Amino acid sequence: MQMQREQGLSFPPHLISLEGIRELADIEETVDGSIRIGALTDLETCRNHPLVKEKCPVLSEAISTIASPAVRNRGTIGGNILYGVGDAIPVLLALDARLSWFCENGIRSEWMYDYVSEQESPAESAILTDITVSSPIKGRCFFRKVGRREAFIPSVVTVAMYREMTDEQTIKEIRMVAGGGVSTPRRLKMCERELIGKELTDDVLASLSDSIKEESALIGDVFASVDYRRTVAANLLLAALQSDR
Amino acid sequence: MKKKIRPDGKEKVTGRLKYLTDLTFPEMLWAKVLRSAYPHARILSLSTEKARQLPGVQAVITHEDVPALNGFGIVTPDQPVLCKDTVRYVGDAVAAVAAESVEIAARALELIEVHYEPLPVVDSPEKALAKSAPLLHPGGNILHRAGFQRGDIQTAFSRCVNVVEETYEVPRQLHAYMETEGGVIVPEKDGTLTVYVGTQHGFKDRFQLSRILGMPEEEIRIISSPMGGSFGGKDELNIQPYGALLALATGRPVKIHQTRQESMRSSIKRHPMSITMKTGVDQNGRLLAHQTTITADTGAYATLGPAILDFAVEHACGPYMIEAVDTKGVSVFTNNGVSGEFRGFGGNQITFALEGQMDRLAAAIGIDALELRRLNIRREQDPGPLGQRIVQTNGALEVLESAAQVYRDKKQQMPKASEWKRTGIGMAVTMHGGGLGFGRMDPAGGRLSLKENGKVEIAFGFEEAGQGILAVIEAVATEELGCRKEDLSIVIGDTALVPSSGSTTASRGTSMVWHSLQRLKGSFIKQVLARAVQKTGAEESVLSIGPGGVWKNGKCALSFESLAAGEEPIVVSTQFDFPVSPDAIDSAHYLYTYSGVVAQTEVDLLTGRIKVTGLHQSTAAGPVVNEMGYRGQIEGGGVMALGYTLMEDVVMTEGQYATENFDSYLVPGIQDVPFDLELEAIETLPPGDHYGPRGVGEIGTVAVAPAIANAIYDAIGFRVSRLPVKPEAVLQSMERGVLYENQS
Repeated sequence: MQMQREQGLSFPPHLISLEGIRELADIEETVDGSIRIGALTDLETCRNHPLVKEKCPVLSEAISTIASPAVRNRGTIGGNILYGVGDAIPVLLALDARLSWFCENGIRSEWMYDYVSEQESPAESAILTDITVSSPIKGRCFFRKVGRREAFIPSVVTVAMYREMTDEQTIKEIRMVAGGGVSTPRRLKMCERELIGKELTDDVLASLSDSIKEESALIGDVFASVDYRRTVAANLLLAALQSDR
Repeated sequence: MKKKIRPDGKEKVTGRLKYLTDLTFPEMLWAKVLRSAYPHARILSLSTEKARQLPGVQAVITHEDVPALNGFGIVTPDQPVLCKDTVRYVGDAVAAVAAESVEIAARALELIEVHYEPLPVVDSPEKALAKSAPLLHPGGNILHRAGFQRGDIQTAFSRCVNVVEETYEVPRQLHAYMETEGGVIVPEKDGTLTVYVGTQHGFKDRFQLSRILGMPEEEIRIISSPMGGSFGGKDELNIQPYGALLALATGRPVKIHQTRQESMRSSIKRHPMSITMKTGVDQNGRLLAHQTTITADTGAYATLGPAILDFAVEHACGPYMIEAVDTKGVSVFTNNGVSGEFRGFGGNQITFALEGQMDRLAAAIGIDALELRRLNIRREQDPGPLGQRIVQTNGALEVLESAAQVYRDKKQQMPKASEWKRTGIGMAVTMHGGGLGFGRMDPAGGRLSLKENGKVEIAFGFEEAGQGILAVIEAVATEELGCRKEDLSIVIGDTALVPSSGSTTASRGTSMVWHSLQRLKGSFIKQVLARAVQKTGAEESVLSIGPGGVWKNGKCALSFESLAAGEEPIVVSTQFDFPVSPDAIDSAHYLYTYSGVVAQTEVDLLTGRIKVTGLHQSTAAGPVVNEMGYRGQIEGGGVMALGYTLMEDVVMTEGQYATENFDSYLVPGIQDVPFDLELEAIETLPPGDHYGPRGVGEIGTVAVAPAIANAIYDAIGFRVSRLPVKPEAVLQSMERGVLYENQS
């Protein structure tokens, strides 16, 4: 918001601080072993939390690429998600996280995928309370953010992926995500469907590149073109799949 | 011993230091400047009525309120202080407001009514040079032409067995100083004006302000240190005229401190240039012919654009001896901001092209790039690049051999390429002139006193912009006089207290401090000792200046306090000019420094991103005055150049800034800086050299870009000809299939 204000966008006349709600700044293990992260948990706490590091290291890795230490000490995971293009989103989509909202008529839970696809809260006055990531994570995770410099930089391309293989080395389950810049991170559902049940042969991978470029629908700007962003998204996801072979 | 902590170090690192923009005064007003809404337009009408009526507004000024010359510019005052009928870039000032608060001032700007008639925007030198182009200045769109010819270029090319031609494009770089332009201007009770604003040349600002205000120079006092960075960017006037006019109009102190966006919009930048070079060699690898065409986008106004082009022309063949040289340069007015002074002063642009040529030529004739350089590099006794006599050192060969050794060592230890990464190594060398050059007023001077309070006061007209001049003065003065730093009182950055020393630019500070001391110390020591003889009755031959005072038989016999007590101060002054070549060649330099750079890179084949993994600079600039300061300049310069190479570019579209702040204009962060950052200082000078330490403020920035570019080629076979290197261009080059396996 501060950055948007610097860019000349209007700032809401009133802001309500939720900082005092300590209950929303916790990370805990649920009864089924999943990790529940309070929406007001600051990014740095989230990144360094033993539960996250042990059970979901890819999330810790992703958060370490967000902004700078000073910003991570203030910014929250909930804020990053509600920003719409935050760098925690792709990895949470790949992990198929769930979001809980505090609404007028109680707590509502939904898939992160549904929220991101629709880009609106379940109700007007809803408050994001927590994010839940299923655990243990059975498959392999991958995350990569590319910016115009090494750190403290908005993303040009961010990709994340979750995949599980069968014993026969075919794809059992896969979630691929691409985002970056002002593009809302999105699941590459068509690519995923193409891959299910397939072995990662050269032919399969070769045909995948164009599909990723097309489906990622990343938007370009004066600093990095559409072509570049889509190519990089494809390169990174393909390289990650190749490393599985 | 030379690893001294700089005098201003702790205060800066801890944030305790007060910059001039931190100052406040009773009754102080805040000012803001209304900049043009268009890159090129005619002003049809201008009304400040509504702004004046806003409660809290104390003054609104326009061109009508400039009492004397409505223009500034270090050499040619072609930039209006406040535009009357035409605006030529989006940073052009149209009006300025002083109000009780910065918010009121900002609101008042919105109430100023300006009607413009937009004019065609000249947003490239090509457009500016077109026959149909609108004329941006009465004299046309060409600010300056410069050139140099030696030998018969056509005949020389005809004898070449190999000729390489390339066009190099370099970007508009922002100085990105921490402290944006600002300060406080105070009207004093006696009618004089005190200007607390950072600059690189207080006396020049005083002269320019006097010309604008119609006030005698003596009635204007410039206090200019300390400031939070400059790198050339605060050499020209910036907000001083508005603060001064508003302070005089209101009779109250006026503070201006530009926001980052205001700074981006109005400040000068490094000249973007397009440089075409055609270079040929004979079968033995001797450079025979070198033809260069430079087109510089100088933006809307002159500032030091002509001198920067001259510098680029002079350095077009760098440290190489080439039989036939033909260099032509043109600096062109456009509606793209204003280009001007920036660390390296045209050398960085031309060196990127030249050192790119050297690697291309070496590849074309199949010899080692290092060998090609060695074959052609200047030797001691060779004339300077314009044929002028220069102060002879063996610096060029020394930095080349030093860099060659580093290159060999690093090449052997190159990290292995991984599946999606390739590594490469590259080098470049350069020479860089210090001082302003032949035919330009380049006076220096200093003053050394023993004050009544027993302090040894050393005063210069230099400014501390973070570059470390205070540490240099301390080191040189204590070494030359033999006293302690505690005995010294260093006075700089206040025109009321210091002598003129010329500008704090052109790598001249260190050199001029040393030269001043050479001239001051004899007479000063003699007078101090004579007084000690009077007071102690001892023979002069047994006395010397030492820590704390005058020493005799290994002990301090008389403190400076006792020497000074009840006596008139001892004052010794000097005025002289920066040394120049005995050959009257316009703008030619006399004192040069040399640099050899080795860069290592890692190229990500998936993203096209370049990471610099090692940067080693060998610098020959005479004795090191302060090791920390020297290292800081070379390493800091290297990082600034790394940014220039990989990410920094003030993007403009149709005369408007696309990069308005540090969220889109990127400078390197610590993660972009290689851990392997090294420096070798070559301190040797030939016997009898009496020019002492040379300045190193610029040399660390000059040859880094070509070294990185050459390392990228080594990694993936991609020839970089445009900066900053875009990952997109790297990826595209690989799609075209230039990728080769160099590390099998």
